Amino acid sequence: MGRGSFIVDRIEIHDTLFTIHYPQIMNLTLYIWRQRNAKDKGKMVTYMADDISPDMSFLEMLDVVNERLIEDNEDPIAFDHDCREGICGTCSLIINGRAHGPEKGTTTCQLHMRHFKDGDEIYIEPFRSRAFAVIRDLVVDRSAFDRIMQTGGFITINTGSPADANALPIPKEDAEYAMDAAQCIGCGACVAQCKNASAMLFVAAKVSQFAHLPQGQPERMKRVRAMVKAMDDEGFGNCTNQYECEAACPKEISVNFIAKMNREFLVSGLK
Amino acid sequence: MSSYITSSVAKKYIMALTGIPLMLFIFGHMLGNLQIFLGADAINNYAATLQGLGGFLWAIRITLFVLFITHAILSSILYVENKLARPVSYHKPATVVATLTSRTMIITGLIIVCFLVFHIFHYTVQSIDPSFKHLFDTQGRHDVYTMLIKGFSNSSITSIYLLGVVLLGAHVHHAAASALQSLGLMNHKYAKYINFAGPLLGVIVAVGYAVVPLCVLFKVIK
Ligand code: HEM
Ligand code: FES
Repeated sequence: MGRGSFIVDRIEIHDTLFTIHYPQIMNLTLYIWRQRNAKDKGKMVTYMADDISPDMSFLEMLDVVNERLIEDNEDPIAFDHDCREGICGTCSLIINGRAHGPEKGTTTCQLHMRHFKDGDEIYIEPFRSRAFAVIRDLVVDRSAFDRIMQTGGFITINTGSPADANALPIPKEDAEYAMDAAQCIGCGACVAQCKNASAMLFVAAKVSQFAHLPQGQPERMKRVRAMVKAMDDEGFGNCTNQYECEAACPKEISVNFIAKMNREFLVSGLK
Repeated sequence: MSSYITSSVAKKYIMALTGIPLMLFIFGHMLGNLQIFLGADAINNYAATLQGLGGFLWAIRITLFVLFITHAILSSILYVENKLARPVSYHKPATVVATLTSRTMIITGLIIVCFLVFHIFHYTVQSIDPSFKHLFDTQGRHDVYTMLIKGFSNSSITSIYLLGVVLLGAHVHHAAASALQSLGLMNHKYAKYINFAGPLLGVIVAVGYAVVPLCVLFKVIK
């Protein structure tokens, strides 16, 4: 256990000073969305999470809660997770109204309990959007993103064997710009935080990533049209330029990519 | 083509393309009003020049009306679509960076509609105080100067104007930079300047319009 998780207390007994170390623990009240399946109405349920270590990640805290539920013969809380190191985009959760919790540029799996205080009340809800149906508890169906990707999030060429690394020179600025967009892990936090459940930041990141690379040029106009159409068909809302998405994004994707996509779409209409 | 126009992105172009000329008008109108500080002759002359435009004045009015109606109807459609996009809301919603003005666009917009109707009946149709119709200056021009002094000397009328123009400023506070973002005219380099200038424009609009009724009410100009 790390040093931060000990509280040091000194007490005096018969003129002798004793130092006692005991692990700092937190007792939390959790309000968690429980829903058996897509058809169930679902409701918020209160759980007491006692003896939580500040060194745990948020998901480890939920693991502990689940183990206790299993011991009590209750259904564990379903939530999404995979890599648990902030790269796969599988974890989700709205924590006190914030996608992936209160920390900037952090996925839920990277969020640590030390950002909370003993006695805190924490609301845990699934990502909410018409396009993301709840499957069970905190797990939502984000396959809408996959369907958007299938309409243009790729390049249609026969790649053959890997090309020589420097066969196609790309200016450093362009490569970095494309990389900034490619940081997107497709978690859906942008949709969840957006006041309108809009998927603009996600789609903009994917469109911009290709628009700045030579490989993306041939299908550039077709791509933006197809991906925007797929996005609209899935039932996401419209962007109102409030930039909640950027603030919630664990990869801090810039809303300037949305302007970029708006530009791409405009040009595609003029062609 | 029809699927292009009905796309979420193109709808935002239309919001911006109808909103930007309205903003230009708002700005021009504000500069026109401020001529009251140059005295009765200046503003009466300005008003007479506008009236002298005749058919062209009507062309401008009709254009503004069409832009305004398109903007208001489309924004209401977008508002409903956006509400439907999240059928189940959060128990504990939170706002991270969205400004108050950005979250109240539909409210400020709808109040602007009401305010504008009142404003047109007050100073253009002049049916709220019909005595305005009989004000002429020594050169026989409509005496807009005296009309404004009479109009804004009434504190309840001035309160309505103050509310209207402050909410107009609030609308522009979010709208100006937002329109550029919608049209894709924002990038990594200029975003910070635009995001500073846009809200400032909103403040300028609110102050620029509010000074006239305030100065009349407090007898700075009489
Ligand atoms: C003269 C008055 C008005 C001006 C100058 C104006 C200007 C603008 C501009 C420039 C935008 C930004 C568009 C964008 O984000 O791309 C905007 C957005 C908006 N306007 Fe207006 N507007 C006016 C009146 C109205 C009225 C009467 C309504 C009525 C319902 C309204 C409702 C809205 C809404 C809801 C938005 C946000 C739309 C969105 O972000 O999706 N506005 N306005
Ligand atoms: S579980 Fe992979 S990013 Fe959080």
